[in-house]
Amino acid sequence: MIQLDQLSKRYTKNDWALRDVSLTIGTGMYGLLGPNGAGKTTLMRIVATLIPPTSGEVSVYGHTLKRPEDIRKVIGYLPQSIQFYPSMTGRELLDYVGVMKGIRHAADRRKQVQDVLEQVHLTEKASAKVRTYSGGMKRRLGIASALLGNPQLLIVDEPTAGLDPEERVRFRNLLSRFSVDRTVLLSTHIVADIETSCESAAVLSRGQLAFRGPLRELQRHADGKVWEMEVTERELALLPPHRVVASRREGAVVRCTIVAEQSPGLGAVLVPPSVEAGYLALLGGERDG
Amino acid sequence: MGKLLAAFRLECRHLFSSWLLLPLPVLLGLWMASSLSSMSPAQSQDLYLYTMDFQRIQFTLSLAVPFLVGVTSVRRDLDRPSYEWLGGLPVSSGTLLTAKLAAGMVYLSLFPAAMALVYGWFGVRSGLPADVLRGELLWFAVQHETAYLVTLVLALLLAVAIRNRVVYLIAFCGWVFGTFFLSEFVVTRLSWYALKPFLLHQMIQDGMPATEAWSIKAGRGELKRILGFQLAAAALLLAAAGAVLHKRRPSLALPAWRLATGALALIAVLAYWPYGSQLHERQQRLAVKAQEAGLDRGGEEAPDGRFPVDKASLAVRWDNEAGAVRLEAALTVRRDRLPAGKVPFTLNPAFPVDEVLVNGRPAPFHRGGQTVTIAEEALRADGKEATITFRYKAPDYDWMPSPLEEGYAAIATKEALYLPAASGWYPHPGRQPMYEGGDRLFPVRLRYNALTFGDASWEVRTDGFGTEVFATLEEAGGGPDKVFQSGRADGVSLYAGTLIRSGKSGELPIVTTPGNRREAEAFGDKLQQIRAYYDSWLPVREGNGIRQIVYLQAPSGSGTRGSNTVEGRSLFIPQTKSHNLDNFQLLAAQKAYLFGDADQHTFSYSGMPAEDFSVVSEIRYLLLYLYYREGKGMSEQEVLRDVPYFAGALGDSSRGEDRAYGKEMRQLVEKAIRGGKLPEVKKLLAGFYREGLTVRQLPDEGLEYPRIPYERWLEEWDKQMGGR
Repeated sequence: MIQLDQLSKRYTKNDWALRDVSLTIGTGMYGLLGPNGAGKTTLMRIVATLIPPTSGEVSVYGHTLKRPEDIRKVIGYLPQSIQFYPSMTGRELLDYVGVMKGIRHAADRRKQVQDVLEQVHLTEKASAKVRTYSGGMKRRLGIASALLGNPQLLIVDEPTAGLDPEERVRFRNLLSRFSVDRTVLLSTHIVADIETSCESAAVLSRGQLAFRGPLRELQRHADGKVWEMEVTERELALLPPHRVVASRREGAVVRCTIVAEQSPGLGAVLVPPSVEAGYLALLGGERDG
Repeated sequence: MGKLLAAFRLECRHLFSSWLLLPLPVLLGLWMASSLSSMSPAQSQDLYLYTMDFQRIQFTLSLAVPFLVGVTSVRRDLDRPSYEWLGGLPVSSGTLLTAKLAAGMVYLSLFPAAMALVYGWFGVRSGLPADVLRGELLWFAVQHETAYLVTLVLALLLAVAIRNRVVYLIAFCGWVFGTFFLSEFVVTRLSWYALKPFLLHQMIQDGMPATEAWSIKAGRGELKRILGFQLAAAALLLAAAGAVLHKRRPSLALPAWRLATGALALIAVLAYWPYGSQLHERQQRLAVKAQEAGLDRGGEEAPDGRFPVDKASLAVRWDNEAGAVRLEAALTVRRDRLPAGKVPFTLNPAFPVDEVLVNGRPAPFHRGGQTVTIAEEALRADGKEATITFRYKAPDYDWMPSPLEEGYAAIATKEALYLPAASGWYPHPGRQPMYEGGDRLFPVRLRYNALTFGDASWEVRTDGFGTEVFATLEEAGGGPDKVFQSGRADGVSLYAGTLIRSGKSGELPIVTTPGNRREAEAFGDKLQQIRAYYDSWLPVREGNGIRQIVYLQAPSGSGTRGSNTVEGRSLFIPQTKSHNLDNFQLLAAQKAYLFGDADQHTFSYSGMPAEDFSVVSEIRYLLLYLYYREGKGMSEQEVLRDVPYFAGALGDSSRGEDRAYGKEMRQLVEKAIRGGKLPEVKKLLAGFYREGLTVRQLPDEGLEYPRIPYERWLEEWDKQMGGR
C-alpha cells in the first residue's frame, strides 16, 4: 500500500511542481496521467526518494520518508531517460545492481539476474556491451534492473516512450505480470498504455490532482459528450484540436470523434466514451475553463 | 562493505579502461626521465636539484589529472539525469563517493609510482646511498599522495556542489589558483605565508624544500604540520561533499554528515593551529629584526665598539629535554682592549640569551634586539684577560622570507644544522648592524658581509646531534661528538643534514649532498691532480690554504649572495644549476687551496693610488699558470684561450693603468721556460708565496692584500734569474 498525504514540492519561490497531492494506491498497476509539466515525474522522484518533498508525507508499504533508505529497499525505479555504463555488459550491470540491492550471495544473484534477463528477453544480448544496445534494449535492461530483488513497488516513468509497437505490448504484459501482489506505478501521457493495463489511475494537472479512481470513472467524465460525425477537411481544421479524440479518412470526408458538451453540428451522433475521451474531457474542461 | 567494494571495482574499471587516463602516469614518468637525462657536465648534475625542478613544474601540471578524474567521476553518474536509476538503489551516496575517492587514489598512485621508479633508477645510477634514496623516495611519495588526495577531494566537492558544466572551468581555476598563483603571488610575493598550507603541494615553493641538505631533515617538522592540516581539510571537503549529496537525495544519514562536516571544520581549524602558531612566532621574531633594520636606517647607531677576541670556544649541544639546540660561547678578551663603558656584543635576535658569565661569575646584561650589552663593572675585575660566557638557545628556524622565496638565516634541530657565520649565531664583538630593510613586502634581510669577528683561535664542540656535523674549521676529533679547531680564523659555520663527505683518503674532502656525489668525485679527482703538482714544489701546507670544500645549495636568507666565501679553512661554494663544480670553480678551488681566499678575479688598477698598487694578482695567476703549462702540458696559447680568466689576467687584454703588467710578466716566464729556467721561476714564485699572497675581502667591501710593486717583482726576477 502506498499513501501520499498532502504531498507538495516547490523548486523555486511560487513555482509549485506539486501541490497537496493525496493518493492511496493498492496492489496492481496504477496509472499516473497528465500532460507534460503536470508534475508526474516530480511525484515519482519523490516516491523513489530521489528528491525530498517540500511538505507532505509518503508511505510505501509502511516505510515513510523519515527513513528513505528503507523505502529504497522495497522499490524498483525506472526513470524516463536512462543510460548505463557503456563498457559493461548487460549481465555485469545487473550483477552490480544486484549487489547494490543487497543480494549478497553470488549464486543467488546469478540466478535472479538470469531470471530477469529472461523476463525481458535479453538473454542473448546479456554478454554484449551496453554500448551496443538499441534504445528499446536499454529500456528492457532498465526494467530488468528495476525488477531485480523483487521490489514491492515498481516505479516506471514513461516506460514505452520510443518503443516499437511490439515492444510496447511486450512491455505492458511484463508489467502486468509483475503487478500481481505488488504495486506498479506507471506514469505516462499515452492513455492507451494505462487503458490496457491499469484498473485505476490518477490525473495530474498543473501540479494538482485532477482525478483519482477507477478508469471507468475517468471514462464517465465524457458521458454524453463524445460525438461522432463526418466533416470535410476544411471543417476539421476549424475544430479545437484538444477536443478531437480520433479522426479517420473515409473517401472525401473525415469521420472524427469529438468531445463536446453539446452536439458539435449536424449529423453528430453520441457514442460511448473511451478512457482517452474521459481524460480529454477532464483536461479539456479545465483548459476551456 | 560488499556494496563499497562493488562500487570501488566499478570505478576502477572506468579509470583503468580509459585510453585517455591510462597512459598519463607512464607519460609523466617518461617526462621525468627525460628531464633528469638532461643533466650534463656543463651544468650541475645534482639529481635532487633537477628532481625538484620537475616537482615544481611538471608535477604541478600533473595535478590537473585529479581535478579531471574527480569532476568526471561525479558527472559520470551521480550528477547525470539519465543515471537517476542509481539514486533509487539502496546504497548511500557516501558509499559511492568513497568508492570514487578510493578508486581515484589507486589510479593517481600510479603517478608517484612512475616518478619513484624513475627517481630510483637515476638515484642508483648517481650512487645515492640506499638509506638516503629510501628517505627521499618516501619524502616525495608522501607529498605526492597528499597532493593528489587533496586535489581529488576538492574536485569531488566542486563536482557535487556545481552541477553545471562550468565546474570544469572552475576546477581549472582552482588548479591554477591552488598551485602557481597562490605560490608565486600570494604566498611568496605578498608574504601571506598563512596561506601556505592551502597550496595543493609544498614542493612548488622555492627555498628550503628544494635543498637536499635540509629539505627532509629540517623541513620534516613543518611538513608534518602542513600535511596534518591538509589531511584534516581533505576530510572536511569529503564530508561536505557527502553532506551535499545526502541533502539533495533524502537520507537518514544527513544529520550525521552535517555533524561530521561541522566537527571536521573544527578539527581543520585545530589542525591549522601548529602551523599557525609557528608562523606567528616566526613573524614576531622577524618583526624584531625589522625593527633592528629600521634603527640602522635611522642613523641612530651606537658607536661600533668592536674589539679583538683572542679565543672563542663554542659548545653546541642538542638538548633532548628542551627539544632545542643549546649553545655556550666563551670569548676570551684582553681587558685593556675593551671599549670604555658598556661592552656590546652582536647576536642574532632569534637566539635568546639565558645567562652571561664573566670568568665564571654571573654578570648583569641587557638584551635589546641584536645587541647584548654587559655592564662595565662586571668586566673591570682583576687579571689581564676576561672570559665572557654566553649561555643561550637557538631557534629551530630563523625565518627570513624574501619576495622570491621563503628563506632561513639559520636552522637548528636535532637532525639539521645550518648555522652560517653570517647569521650571527654566536656573539660578535661590538655592535654590528646585521640587518637592512626593507618595505612591507620585504621587511628585512641580512646585510651582506656585515659581521666580522676578527682573527681568533677557535674551538667548537658539538654534542647530541642525530646526524654528522660538519664545520668550516678543521676537525680535531672524530666520533659522534665532534671537536673542531683552528689556530686562526674569523668565524665558523656549522652544517648537518642530508650531507656526505666526498673524496678518497688524502684528497681534499668535499662536503656536499648525496645528489652531487658523482660531480663532487670528478671535481675532487681534478683537484687532486692540481694539489699533487703544487705539493711537489710549493710549501702549500705551511700556507693558509683551504682544507675542505663545502658545496651546498644554501637556503636563501643566509646572506651568501650566491658567491664563494672562505671561512676558516673551508671554501663554501653555494650551489645552483649553473653555479656548480665546473672549470670556473676548479680555478676558484685552486686559488683557495693555494692562497686561502675566495678571490676569483683580477684587480682593477683603474684609479688605484700608487701606494696601493700591487702585482699580487699577476703573481698569483703566474703560480696558477704554471700548473696548466707544466702540470697539464698545455701550450701558452691554449692556456690563454681555454682556461677561464687567464686572457684577462696574463694575456693581451690584461689590465694595467697604462701597461699590461700581466702580459709582460708572463712573457718573462715564457722566455725563462724556453731557456730551461723553469726551476728558477718556480723558486722565485715560491719565495713570493712564502711571503703570503692572500687577498682578503674586508667588511667595507675593500681588499686586504700584500703590496708588491712591479719594480720589486723585476728586482726579484733579476736576482733569481740573473737578468731579463
